[in-house]
Amino acid sequence: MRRLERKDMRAFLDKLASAASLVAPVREDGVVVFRPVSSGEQVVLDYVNPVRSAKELFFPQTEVMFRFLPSPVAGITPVQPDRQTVLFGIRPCDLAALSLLDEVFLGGDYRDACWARRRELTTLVGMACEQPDESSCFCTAFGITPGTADGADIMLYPAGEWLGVEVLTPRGQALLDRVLSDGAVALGEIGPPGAASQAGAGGGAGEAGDRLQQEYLKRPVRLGDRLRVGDLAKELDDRFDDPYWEEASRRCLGCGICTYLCPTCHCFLVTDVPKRDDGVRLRCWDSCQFKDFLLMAGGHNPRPTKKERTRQRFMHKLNYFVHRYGRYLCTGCGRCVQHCPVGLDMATVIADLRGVSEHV
Amino acid sequence: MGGELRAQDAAVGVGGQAGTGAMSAVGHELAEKVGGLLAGGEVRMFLGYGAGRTALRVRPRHVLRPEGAAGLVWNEFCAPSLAKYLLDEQEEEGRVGVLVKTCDLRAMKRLVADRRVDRGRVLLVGVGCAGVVDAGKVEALLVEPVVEAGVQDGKLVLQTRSGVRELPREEYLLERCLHCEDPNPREVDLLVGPEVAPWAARPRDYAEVAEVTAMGAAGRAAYWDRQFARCLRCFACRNVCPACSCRECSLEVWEPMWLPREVSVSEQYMFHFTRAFHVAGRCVDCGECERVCPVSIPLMKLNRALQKEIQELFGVERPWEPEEKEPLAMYTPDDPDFH
Amino acid sequence: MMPHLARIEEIVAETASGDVKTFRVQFLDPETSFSHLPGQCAMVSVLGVGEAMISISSSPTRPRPLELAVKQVGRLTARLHEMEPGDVIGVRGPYGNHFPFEDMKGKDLLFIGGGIGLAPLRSLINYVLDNRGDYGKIDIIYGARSPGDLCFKRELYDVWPLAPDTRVLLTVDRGDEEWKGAVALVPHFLEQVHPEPEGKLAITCGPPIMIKFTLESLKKLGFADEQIVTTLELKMQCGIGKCGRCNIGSRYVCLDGPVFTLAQLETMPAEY
Repeated sequence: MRRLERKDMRAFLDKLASAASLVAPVREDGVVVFRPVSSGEQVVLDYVNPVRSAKELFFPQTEVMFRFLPSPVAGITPVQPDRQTVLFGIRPCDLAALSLLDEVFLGGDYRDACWARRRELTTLVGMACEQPDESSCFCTAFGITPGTADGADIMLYPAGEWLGVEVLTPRGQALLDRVLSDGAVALGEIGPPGAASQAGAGGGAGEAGDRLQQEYLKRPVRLGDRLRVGDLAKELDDRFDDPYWEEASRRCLGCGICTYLCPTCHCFLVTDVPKRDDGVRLRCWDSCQFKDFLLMAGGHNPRPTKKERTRQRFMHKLNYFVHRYGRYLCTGCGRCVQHCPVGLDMATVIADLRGVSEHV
Repeated sequence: MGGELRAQDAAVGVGGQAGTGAMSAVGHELAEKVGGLLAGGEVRMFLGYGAGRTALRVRPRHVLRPEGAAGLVWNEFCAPSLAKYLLDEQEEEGRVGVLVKTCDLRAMKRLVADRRVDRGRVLLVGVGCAGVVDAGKVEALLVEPVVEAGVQDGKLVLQTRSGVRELPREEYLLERCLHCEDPNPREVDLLVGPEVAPWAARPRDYAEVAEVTAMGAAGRAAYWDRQFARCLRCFACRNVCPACSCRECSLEVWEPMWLPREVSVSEQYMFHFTRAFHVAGRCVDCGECERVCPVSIPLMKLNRALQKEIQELFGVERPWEPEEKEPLAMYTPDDPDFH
Repeated sequence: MMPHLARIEEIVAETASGDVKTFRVQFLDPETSFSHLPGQCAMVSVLGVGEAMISISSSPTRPRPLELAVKQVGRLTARLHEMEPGDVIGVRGPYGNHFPFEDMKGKDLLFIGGGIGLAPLRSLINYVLDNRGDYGKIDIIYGARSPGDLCFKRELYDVWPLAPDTRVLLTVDRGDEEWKGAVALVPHFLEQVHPEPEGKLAITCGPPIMIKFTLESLKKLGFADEQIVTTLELKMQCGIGKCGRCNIGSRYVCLDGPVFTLAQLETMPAEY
């Protein structure tokens, strides 16, 4: 791990922006969102997490899969992204979410070309969480921590006046080499000024970096620590018919806030948009919370009420997905906790199901 | 501007007197009365508020049994309008009780006027309200959860683990509360709590509309492009809106598909403008759409712009009142535009 | 999720009203054609309208052309029905599991179909008849609303009944002046036929309501859950277990179905 001075951060971001198309958190009308940026100036560093998750960089809300000419001419031309991108500032929860979505889109017998392509084209610069939001963040419920770097190409660990920079992959190294190539930004050794010489005696910069990382890995996240899921998936095998689902679902508004803000929700629909002579086939986000999600052409709807739809959302994440992929489909990012207008969010439901208090 | 602020200070004073202690006393009275209504079979369900995850949050609470009434709360964070839940209850027999503030009562009347809720099957329990705090605004300031919250001497007092923080309450009220013309709901079936002294509500001066108008055509387009680019199309604004109560929303119909799922600039305009025009003249100015929007799109600016037009074009003084005439939904032979 | 282009070679109206048509299609690029197993499905695209999962009604033993029997129910199928030979559609697949034709070897088979539900069964019936020696006696019970609604009439009347040890038993909900066969709902007719469960496997496909009562009738007749095979249909968008739509509990109908034994269904949430 090496050291980037905080005062050099803007220059570092400028270099990232010139190395590839850079996407980073910006504050827009008071809301933090990931946006393409052209300079370090635009990037905010005092953010908890962008309100819209990082998944949309890889699974856009509307994605053109191919262009077509209709019958009788008929032709299909795939549309594939080709832009090298750097995503800066992704948090451990969203990093974990990408690896969960890899299971869906890349696992099994069918590999999703669009997802795979965007994953290949994007270098991930992660940012450890200096200050998780205590009212909503609960990553530790799922074994993720403010310092979990899994999936990042480069991870940054804020440490006051400087940030620890850890390179995790060859792709990350290649990016860093480009950023540092002209010498405008330089990384230093970890430890106080002059510590490089002491390092030999005190265990070295490596050890100081490890300490910083450990400190992040062990940082408490109160809500998550309280909600550790344990065997919940197994317990839920027998709770499909629990009256809880009906009771809880009464307050659901049936909107898609939870599913659309969620970094792991991935339901989509496919729709053709014909133009005059040709057209495009799109895949667009959809939500299991919408009442027409499973409505069939003949009028039959296997999940006709809020009860079935609420149960589907939570059972999918806490039970069905675990059966299929061996992991929970939630990373405790807290977006649903923060934004569900009626408090029917993952933290609440886990607390209710486990009979523990969610108050921190 | 200064005059308005003083008016607001007066309101805060009232709210301060109502205070947390008084409000929790209202909570007890409410719980007791609701327990009685359920036990006596006067209502089969009661819609109120229960405690949320932190002291800043409440949750809608459906109470089905008398003993469940004990979990009801009333405090300065009871923002969500509960009226729309009544739509879920229209199939089943029996009366449903619902707690209403003045703003919620307008929502209720909207649903009744639109013939979506049968007034005879609703028992309205009114509560005087000195203004509701915008929890989102407060949370944006804090990383620690609020353990206890209340109002003292016009100040919002927030207890967190590491200490107490005081905020000027008036700056953290929901925008709708600043315009509240009467803090006490009238024409309800039952009242709980004391009468709250009225305050000089800030008149709707449409400054927020003027601000956008002043941007000019290109500036306005850029402004709304940016706002709508954040839109998730999650439909929370629609689902929470008491004026959006169609059994089947035209924006969800597949044939013809008025609104493709495609999220592009033009489709976002299609969605938001359709919605705004659909509720034009029927919007009760509750601001719930804007409050629940997870990406902070200032939806009330659209609704207010239309409100202003309706006032000016048709001389409707208070278009947010469901009892006012609805110029966009009526016909008279002496209409000057009638040919 | 990229479809392959395929040309419609022939269209056969199956029913008197024309609401069910069989489309015989050939892939434009023979490299993209695929082989399937009985019971598997294909995602069919009408470019400009969308895609739908359609069961393949031809048998793998007669691989070309691919046959898709489609009932007109919604937007996409309406447009498909307007198409003519020479028109080009998109096809991708094959998707899903298949009927357990290996486990069926040596057993007597009872097919119970209703309406368009005969389409996937037809794939298996022709497969079994093309491997006749591997299977025991075959009974095909098939019903439709009216005589005009019976699909695959040539096979029903002129082909299948002539195969060795094979019976075709037809019923309709409402007869007409020419109809001389049974008039009864499929589950009632099944009870009248009264097949003995021993050594038999029942394979049923049809509208949900028919399946529901047929399963009850089969149980009444003494069939064990393991002896009953059926297919499920849910709304699908991707066909490959990604779009999150067609799950029943932890299973996806598009990947783990559409074929399930009743024993399997009993372990799954009844949400279909």
